[in-house]
Amino acid sequence: MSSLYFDNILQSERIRKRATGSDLLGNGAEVAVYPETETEVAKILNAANERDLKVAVTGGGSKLGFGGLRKSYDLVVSLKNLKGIVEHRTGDLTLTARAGTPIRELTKKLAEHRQMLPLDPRWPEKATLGGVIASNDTGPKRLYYGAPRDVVIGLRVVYPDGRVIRTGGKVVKNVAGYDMNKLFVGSMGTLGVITEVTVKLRPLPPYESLALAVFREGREEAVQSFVNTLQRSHLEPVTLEYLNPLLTQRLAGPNRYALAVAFEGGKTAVEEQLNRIQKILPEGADLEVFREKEAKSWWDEWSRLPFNETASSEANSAEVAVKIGTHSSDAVAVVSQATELTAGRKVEALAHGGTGHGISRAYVRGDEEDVLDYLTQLRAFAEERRGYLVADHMVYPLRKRFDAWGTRMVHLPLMKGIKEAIDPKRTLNDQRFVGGL
Amino acid sequence: MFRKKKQRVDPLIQHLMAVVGEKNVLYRREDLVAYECDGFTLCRGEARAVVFPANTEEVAAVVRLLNRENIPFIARGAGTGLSGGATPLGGEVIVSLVKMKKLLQVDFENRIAVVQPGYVNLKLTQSIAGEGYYYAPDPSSQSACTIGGNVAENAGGAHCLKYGVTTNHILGAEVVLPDGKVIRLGEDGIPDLPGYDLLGLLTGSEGTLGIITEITVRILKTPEAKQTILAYFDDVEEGSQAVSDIISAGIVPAALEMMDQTAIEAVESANFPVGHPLDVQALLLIEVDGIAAEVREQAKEIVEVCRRRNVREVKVARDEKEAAAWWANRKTGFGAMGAISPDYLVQDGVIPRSTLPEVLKKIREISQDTGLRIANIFHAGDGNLHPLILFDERKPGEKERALEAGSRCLKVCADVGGSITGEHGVGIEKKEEMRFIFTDEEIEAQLRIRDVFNSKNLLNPDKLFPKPGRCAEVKKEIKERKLAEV
Repeated sequence: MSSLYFDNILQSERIRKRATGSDLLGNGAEVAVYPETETEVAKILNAANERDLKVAVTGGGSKLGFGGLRKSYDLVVSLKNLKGIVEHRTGDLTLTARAGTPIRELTKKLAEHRQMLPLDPRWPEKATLGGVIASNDTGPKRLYYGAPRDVVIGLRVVYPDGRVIRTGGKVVKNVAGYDMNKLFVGSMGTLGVITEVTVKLRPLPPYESLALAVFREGREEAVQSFVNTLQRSHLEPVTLEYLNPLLTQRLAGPNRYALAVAFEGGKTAVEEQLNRIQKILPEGADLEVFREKEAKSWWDEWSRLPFNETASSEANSAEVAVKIGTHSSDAVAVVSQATELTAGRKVEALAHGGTGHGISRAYVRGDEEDVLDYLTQLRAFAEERRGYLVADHMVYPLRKRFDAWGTRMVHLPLMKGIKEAIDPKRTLNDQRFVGGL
Repeated sequence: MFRKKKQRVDPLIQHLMAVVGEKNVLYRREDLVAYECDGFTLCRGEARAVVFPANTEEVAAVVRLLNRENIPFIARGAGTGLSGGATPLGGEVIVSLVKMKKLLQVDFENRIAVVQPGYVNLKLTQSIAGEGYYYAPDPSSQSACTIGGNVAENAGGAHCLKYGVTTNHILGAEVVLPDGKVIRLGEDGIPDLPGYDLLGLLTGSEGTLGIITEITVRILKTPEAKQTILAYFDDVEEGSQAVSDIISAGIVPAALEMMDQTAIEAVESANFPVGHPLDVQALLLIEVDGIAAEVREQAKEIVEVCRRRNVREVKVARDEKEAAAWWANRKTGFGAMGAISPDYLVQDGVIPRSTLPEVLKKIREISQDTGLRIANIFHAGDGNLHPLILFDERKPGEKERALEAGSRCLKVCADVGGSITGEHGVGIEKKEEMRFIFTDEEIEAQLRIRDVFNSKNLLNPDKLFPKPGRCAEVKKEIKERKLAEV
C-alpha cells in the first residue's frame, strides 16, 4: 500500500512507514498517519474507505495487545497529535478535550482548578482520553465514581466514510434522541473514530486515604463477611478492592490477601471513616493506613501494574492481562481462584477484584502453555458464575490460539446489524472486537 | 344476539384476545378514551386497542402477531410521560405493561433488584427502605410512574445531581424486539459484558427500539445523614451565583433545586404550602447527604455561601418532617400551576448552569412577547430548566401561543449550548425541536440505528424524530398504514 494516497491530506512528515506497533502485538500497519485536526481524520477515513483499505486506530499505544485477529492493517491512524483541551467550563464541571490527550495531562490541568476527571484507568501517562473511552477502561474507583459510560456526555465521532457526527451534547443531563454516546463507549473503535470527548467532572476531593486490611489468613468466607459488613455500613468507600498475596507484596509488603478500602472527601469524613473501619475490622486482620501523598503514590504505582508492551523475548514465555466480570459477590472467589490456579503451573499472577463492582483483573506471566491452560481454567470458573473473561493484553500469536473475547457477549445479531449500519465496508478496526466485529 | 355482536368485532381484536384473554383487551371507543394521550395532553389520538399482557411470553406473542399483520404498536406504562411518547397517533395497538408489576428479586449483597416494567418507581424504595436501601432516580411522578417507563424515557428527578439519571442505575433488561424475539441484555448486573452497550442505547429510546419486560436495577445504601437547606433570594442572579459557588466549593449536593417567583406563587396556592414569602425572586432547596460529620460541615458551608450572596433568609430543616414538607411542596410544583392557571405547558430544556441569568432574561422576554406568564422550576445543579407556560385553552389562540413560547424557550436553551430535553423526552412534542441541536446527518445516523432494531418502524412510529425524516420512509409508512387498515 502506498502512503502516496495521503500526501495531499497530510504533510509527509506526518506520514510514517512502519511507525507504530510491533509485529508481536499486532494491530499495526506498514503506514501510519498522524492527523492533527478532525478534518484531517475525516479526509483520511474518506480516502481509505473509498479505496477499501482496512484502518486501525490508536492513541497512546497502551492497548495494542487488546483484541484483534489481524496481524496488520493497511493503515494506522494515530490520534497522538490530536490533543489538547477544547473547553473547560469550570463553573459547569464539564470538560471537552481532543481524543489524543493523555489522561495524566488532563488530571494535572484539572487539579489546578481543584477538579478531577472521575476515571482511574491504567497507564494514565500513556493512555489517551479517546482510548480509555473507546476501550471502556476502568480502575478500582469505578465503585464510587462510575465507568466511562457514566462520565461521557458528548462525543464527536468521524464515521468510517468521513462524515462527522456529534452525539450527546455539552450538558450533564440530556435525553434528546438516542443516547448515541453509549454506542461508541467501549466499542473498541469499530464504529467510528472518536475525535473529541465531553465529560462530567467532579470536585477534587480535598483529602484522601487508603486503608489496607491485611488478612493473616485469606479465608474466603471471612473476607466476604467483612466486605458485606462494610457494604451494609454507612461508610462510603471509593474502592473495595481485594488483592492476592503477590500483589499485596508488590505494593505494600506482606505476602497476604488484603482489602484496599479508599476514602476520599473532606478530612473530617475521611478520618471518621478510618476510625470506624478500625472498629469493625475482623479478627485476623491488620490495618495499614496510607494518607494523602502516600495514598496517591500507592495508586500511581497501581496504575502501572498492567502489562502494556511486548513480552520479554524469552522463547515460550508469555505475559497476559485479563479482565473478569462477575457479580460483585463472586469477586473474592475469582481472586482466590486466580491465585490458586498458579499452583502446579509455571505461572505467577498478580490479581485483584472489585468486591463492590464485579470487575476483577489478573496479570499472568510464565510458561506459554501453562499460561494458556491457566486462562482456560480461569475463564471456565468465571463462566460457571455467569461471568466472562477477556484478555486485554496478549501478543498476537497467542490471540490466534486463545479467543481474547470469549463467547459470552451482548446479543450478536444486533451488534452485527449496528456494525453493518455504520461501517458496512468494515473499514475500522476490523476483527478487533468480540464476535469478530 | 350474542353471536351477532361477536361477529362485528375486528378480527385483530379476536386474535389479541386469544393471546391475552378476553378481559385483557380494550377496544370499545369509550374504553379507549383514557388512552388518547399521556401526561402531554395537548395532542391526542385514538388507539385501535389496548392489551394487557401478563408476562413476557404474552408480550412476545402479541408483538409477533402485530408484526405479522404490520400493525403499529406502542408500549405504555402509567402514562405519566410529559412529551407524548405513549400517545397514539391513530390506529396503534397499545401494549400496556401495568399488569406486569412484580418485584421479582432483591439481592442486597450485590445491590441489585429485578422488577417487571409495570412496577411503580416509589414502591421499590418503599420495599427496601426497611433494610436501609433505596432506588435513586426519583422523577416527580414517582408515586405513579413505572420503572419500565423510566427506562424508556431515561427519567431523571431532583436527586440526579449526585447519583445520576436512570441510565446510570440500569444493569440489565429482558427485551421483546419489534419482531417478537426475546433477548436479554446486561446479564442481570454483570458489568461490562463484551459488546456494544445496547442496554445504554435502549435506555431513553422512548419505546422505539424494543419493549422491556424485565429490568435489573442498582439499589443504593441509604446515606447515614441528610440535611435540607432552604434559601430565599431577592435577586435571581444572586441565587444562581450561589448555585455556582456551592459547586465551586467542592460540594456535590444530592439535590439543588430553584424556583422563581411565579413558581413560588403557584406552590403556595396549591395543596402543599409551606409559607414561602411570595415576594422573593428565587428560592433554593438544597439537600446534602452522606457521612454525618461531613453533611453537617457542608450544610454550614452552604449557609455561609448563601449569606455571602445576600440571601434574604436561609435555614436548615429542623427535622425530617420539615424537610419532607419542603420537598412535597417542590415535587408537586408542576401540578401546582393548576392553582393559578387553567392550563399549563411544561418544558424541559437543559443549559450550562452558568448561563442561567442570561437564559432567564430571555425567557422573560418570551413571556412579554407572547403575553403568557412563565414560571420556572429548575434542577439548578444539573442545569435542567422547566419553564411552565401558563395559558387558558378556552381563549382562542392561547394554546398555540403557549406551544410557540415553549418552542422558543427550547431554542434559547439550544443556543447557549444546551439541550431541548433533560428528562421528559422528545416524544411527539419536541420532534421538530430536534433540529435545534442535531443536523440532518446526525438525525439520519440515529434513524439508521432505529432501523437495526425496528426495521418496519411499527414500534412507536412517528415519535422522536422530525418529519419529514426521509421522504421515502414517509411514503412507505403511509402505504403500509393504508394496507394495514384495509
